[in-house]
Amino acid sequence: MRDRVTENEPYTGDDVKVASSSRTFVAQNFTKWYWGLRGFARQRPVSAFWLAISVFLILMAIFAPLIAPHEPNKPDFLNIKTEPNRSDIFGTDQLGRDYFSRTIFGARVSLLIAFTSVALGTAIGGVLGILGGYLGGTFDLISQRFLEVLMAVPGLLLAIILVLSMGAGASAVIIAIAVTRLPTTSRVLRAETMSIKETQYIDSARSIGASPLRVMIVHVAPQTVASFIVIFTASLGTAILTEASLGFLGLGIAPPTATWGGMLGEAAVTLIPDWWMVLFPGMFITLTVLAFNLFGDGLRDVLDPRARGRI
Amino acid sequence: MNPTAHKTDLQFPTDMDLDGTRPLLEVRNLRTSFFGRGEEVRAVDDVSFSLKTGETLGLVGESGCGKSVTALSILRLVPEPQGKILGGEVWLDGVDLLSLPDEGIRAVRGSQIGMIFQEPMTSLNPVLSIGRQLTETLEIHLGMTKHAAKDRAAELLNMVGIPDATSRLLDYPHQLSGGQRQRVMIAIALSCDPKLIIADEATTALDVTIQAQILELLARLTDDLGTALMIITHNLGVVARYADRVNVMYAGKIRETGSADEIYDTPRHPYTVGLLDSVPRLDRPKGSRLKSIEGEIPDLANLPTGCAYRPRCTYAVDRCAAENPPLAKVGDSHASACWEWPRLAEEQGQTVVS
Amino acid sequence: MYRYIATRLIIAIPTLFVVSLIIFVIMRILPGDPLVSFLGIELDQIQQITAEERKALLAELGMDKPWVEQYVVWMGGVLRGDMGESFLRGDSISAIIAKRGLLSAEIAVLAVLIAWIIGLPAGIIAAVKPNSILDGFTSTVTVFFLAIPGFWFALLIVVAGILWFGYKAPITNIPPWVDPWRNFQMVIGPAFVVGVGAAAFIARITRSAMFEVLQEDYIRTARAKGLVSRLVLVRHAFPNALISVVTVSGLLLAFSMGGAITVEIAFVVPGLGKTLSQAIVARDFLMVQNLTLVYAGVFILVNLLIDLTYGRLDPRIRLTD
Repeated sequence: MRDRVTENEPYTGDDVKVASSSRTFVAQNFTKWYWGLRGFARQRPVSAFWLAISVFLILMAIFAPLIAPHEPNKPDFLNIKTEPNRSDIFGTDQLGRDYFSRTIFGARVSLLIAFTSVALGTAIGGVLGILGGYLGGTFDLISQRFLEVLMAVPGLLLAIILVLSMGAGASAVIIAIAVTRLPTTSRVLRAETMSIKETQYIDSARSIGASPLRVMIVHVAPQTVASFIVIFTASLGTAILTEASLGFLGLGIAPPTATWGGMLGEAAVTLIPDWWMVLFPGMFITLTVLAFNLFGDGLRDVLDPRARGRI
Repeated sequence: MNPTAHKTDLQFPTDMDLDGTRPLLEVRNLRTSFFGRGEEVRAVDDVSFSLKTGETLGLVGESGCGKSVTALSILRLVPEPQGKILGGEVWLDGVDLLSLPDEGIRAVRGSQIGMIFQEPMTSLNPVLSIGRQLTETLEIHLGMTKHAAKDRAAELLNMVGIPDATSRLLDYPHQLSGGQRQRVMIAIALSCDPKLIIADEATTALDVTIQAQILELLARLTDDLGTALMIITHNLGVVARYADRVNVMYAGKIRETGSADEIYDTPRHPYTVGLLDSVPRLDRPKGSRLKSIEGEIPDLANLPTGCAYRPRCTYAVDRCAAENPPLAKVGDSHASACWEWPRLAEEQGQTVVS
Repeated sequence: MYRYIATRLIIAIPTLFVVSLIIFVIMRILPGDPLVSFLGIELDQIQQITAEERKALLAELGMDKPWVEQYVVWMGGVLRGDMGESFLRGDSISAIIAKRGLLSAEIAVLAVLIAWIIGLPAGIIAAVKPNSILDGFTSTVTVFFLAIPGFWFALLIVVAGILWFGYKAPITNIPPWVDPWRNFQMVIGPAFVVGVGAAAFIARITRSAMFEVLQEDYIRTARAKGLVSRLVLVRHAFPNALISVVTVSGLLLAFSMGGAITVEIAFVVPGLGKTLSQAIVARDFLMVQNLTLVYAGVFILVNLLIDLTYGRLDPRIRLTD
């Protein structure tokens, strides 16, 4: 497939062999991905199972208003702290709100924040990594040192002070979690870029006069997609746990919005926590993290056979 | 794999027939395969040969022909579960190694048979000292005390030409060069005075100049100590210089076997001829082309019917595609697995004594 | 080895300073009125504050001075051991941190012990008998524990304790030399939860490190020497795998520190985690700032120790430089 920019340059045919622009990459590979998915399910049924669970959870979050039997934020002071029973399957909390509905709505917050923050963090981290790995020199040096120092503060703490200064709220949490994802992503993609850089057809692309930017976007980036996907799915679990921790500390989305971490936090504050207030949100957090992690594991096995047997 | 079985019918004469002494090592009908992705790769396909005490045997062939796997099979070091020894017998001094229990084969490894591997850079444990890696076998197989083992280890290092032996014992592998590490490997292999040493491509990863030194060392030591030596290599030059007998392997089977003289002066298998022809020689006229064997190494998971060498053979006839030729006697101690060996011998200008 | 140590030490100190700078900057640079952040004044009340009141409030906080001066004042105090006074109660922050820090330190030490004592053997066994029932069991448990939020596990234990045993742990801070049993009761819960989570991590890494090591050539040499499996594992494979595991410990540490904070809170243990939580709720920013510095400092220090351990374990580093 001829790429537009080669009109003015002597056509050497090299570009044909390398991946063309990202959009055509996706288009060309859609069919491949569909059959890949079926093959994936056959080859790694366990991972495919967890993929299904992940999808189920996502759907649950999206269709929460349709699934939840009651209003999640509506207090009912006649029914505070009731044990799970026929009408309130998960019981009610200290304000009489239906716990089941709150749990389902909680998925919305957790998943939305997880996906957004991971997307943001890995995208920026990835760009940093590719730029650093490809360009090297001062840019690389400075960005790596910076990220190293960033890593000197343990993840959750970094998120805490970021959220504190930005003021609680969804965007603060998203940015905070995204920042915690920067160092790892950039490190991995930087290493990957550096090894891609050595390959021959990067040399041939540069020899036909392609600018560094073009080489990075058109040739390097598509090859890092596999690693990127792996990091993305692996980060989702951590993001969810971080968001839950922040919510538990009272730093997440402001009440009365239901978030799993926040629900656990409210439960913890009572002197004698009620078991249903503790059990259910945590169960869902665990399930979600498990699902993303295990699906991610299988995905990584398929996309990067080198990593088999490693973390 | 019955330990009490007596000698079965072999396809070719063993040295026993010639002078009546029992060979040190007798491999009979050894079969080892690797399984993966639904395929079976027959790495060692019905291999039989023998080795006399103190003799040096060269096992020659291209990469992937099964020579390393043969060596690993003798010591039962074939990586499981993907690899498996499927059948055959390996007699070492009257004991079938393949039917020994685990402790039995462990007692043989390192003490009766010593092995030297190809990669000196990675074959030694980086976190243990040289001395430790030497004294291990001494303590375990010979029951030496720590002190005695240390002395012996220093002796061994001296023997393999490493100067300043006593202080070297405290060094770690990363402090030694490739050649020195291989010397240490030789010392380890010789440490318990084994009957046989198997050197699997022991010099391939070394510089050319070092190669010669290491080979000389190995040959001299095994000579002096009366140890049998099996040199596994793809380098014919090496074998020519040091081996008493030569086995030529291709695609998991031995195609030709004979004394070094027989193989080099009167090769009687097309593959051997091809190998010998492809060695660059200084005595040929300048400008003469390098000969190489046409075709590629076969895919061991999908071998053609009949003789596996047929696709690359210039002497092939119809029969070769139908039946795999067995090893047949073609000389005093010389056997070849080729239907057309008489024609080949004639065309090579050899005189055939029937 | 000496150059290795020296390099690491020399890098650690400036890193700590840069970290302090970053913490300082983050707490001030990001959008929002400092009065809202620092004093928790409601947004609608902000409009009602006169210019003079604002100036007075800021002066009280020490925030009217230029940033550089604020930073110097802060760090100068830190280096002398004085971290300022808590907004919440006016107590010396250093004193609070020292007192509560003891408990958190105990928890940390105990957790580390638990983690390695459980995690290492589990990982080794799983690697040695791959695809066995034991391996599958360890894998499942490991994966499970890596997904469980520590504070949830902690809460479950607390609830179970109350419901099934009628037991509640003590909540006042008692040093171990005054009342060891009470101290132990407070410490064991969090230590167990954090330790088990870390054990899962260690088991996983150890397993894959052992796998990798067992493929190496020198293991083949060891077997070719006729060594028993157990000896090959313990003397040849394990030391090499351990090096890999130690290298990754830094990551584990970050993971565990964050977990320890929330777990302490869940167990209502008066350690640094609880202090942090209270400071957050009360918007006691100076406390948060200092606590983060302390955590980061400890983190850098422990990473340094990990690097040194790694340097000692690996002869390639120990004997060069």
